[in-house]
Amino acid sequence: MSEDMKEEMKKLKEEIANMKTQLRDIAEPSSRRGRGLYIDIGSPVQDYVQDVMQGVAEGVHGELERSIFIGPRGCRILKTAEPLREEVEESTDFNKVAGLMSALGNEHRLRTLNELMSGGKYVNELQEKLSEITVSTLSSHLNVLEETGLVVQEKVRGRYLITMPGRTAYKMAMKVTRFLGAGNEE
Amino acid sequence: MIWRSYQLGDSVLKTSDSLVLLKTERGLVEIGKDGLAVAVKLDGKVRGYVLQGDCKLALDTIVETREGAIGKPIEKEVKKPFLALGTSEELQRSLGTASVDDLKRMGYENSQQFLTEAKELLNHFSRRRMGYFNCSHDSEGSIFAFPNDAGRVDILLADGPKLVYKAVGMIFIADGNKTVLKSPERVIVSDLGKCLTIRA
Repeated sequence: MSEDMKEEMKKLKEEIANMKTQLRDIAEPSSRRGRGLYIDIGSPVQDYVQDVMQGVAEGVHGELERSIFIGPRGCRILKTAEPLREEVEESTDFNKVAGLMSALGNEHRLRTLNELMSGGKYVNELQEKLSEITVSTLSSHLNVLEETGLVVQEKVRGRYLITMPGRTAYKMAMKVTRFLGAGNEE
Repeated sequence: MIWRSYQLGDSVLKTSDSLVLLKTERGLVEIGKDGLAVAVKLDGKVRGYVLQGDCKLALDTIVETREGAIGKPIEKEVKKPFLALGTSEELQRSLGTASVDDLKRMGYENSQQFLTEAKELLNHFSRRRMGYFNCSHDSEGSIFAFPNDAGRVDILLADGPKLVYKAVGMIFIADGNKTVLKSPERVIVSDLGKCLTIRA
């Protein structure tokens, strides 16, 4: 091997040694050298990770708030609680909600729903149970309930049936009433 | 392949009275007075008619479950010619010959125009349904084919408490208290309030 070649090899070895040192300094600064691998990811990334962790913590906190119901009789965990999404709230048609509440906001309509809870009925069967109101008043109430989708009328047989939303709305109204009653007692 | 033998009659008839073509627990088909009709024959015997007039179709395509009723009833007027196989002899008795005025009232210049439309419907029904259906006067059952806006036909089969209705986006099957409703969103199977829902 010529002298030039030897010189060249020596230079290359030195360069490799320098590069190794530089690499070690990048991955492991002298102040942090110890066990494990330290990678300086820079402050923007650290901020981002912190933000993510903050978001996760807030999410967990919010989920706990939604899942634990504190009522007059103590607190309980709502197993089926679904997360309340802002976009759902934004798209709510409050007129429709008010219309539904208005349909429920009548004693005779609630009693009509109560009668239908046990199965489909003809107008005359409902009239027997709600004898204090006239047939035309009953028909008017049934129209309101049908328009809001709480009941449906068969076109062939003519019976009135409570729908799935109607049953849910009726049960909800009863539950809230019982809940308020319990709250007032305590 | 029974359907291959279905033939249309030669003469255009008209209904002299309003008639109920089908009345079951869940289904009703009516046609008004002065509706047009042409016989549909199989082996030389009249098996039904292609009809056009003031037709009313009502179906209770509702499933009753313990959680409440699901589905909506269907109520619509059918203006286009429709096929009715296995209809009552009462209809046959009430039919008379249609005049040019009767045809014009329905928007036809002559009887051939109506017969062409009727043939098109029968061909469409036969082509789409192939040999699945065989309806004879020995059976109480009826088959209806109503043209829909999608250029297809809605099929209604009825035999006592049994009813099948297939339209665009839905299939409804009922046998007494047992019902099946298939919509694009779900399939609901119900038997006396007990219910199984399969979501799409």
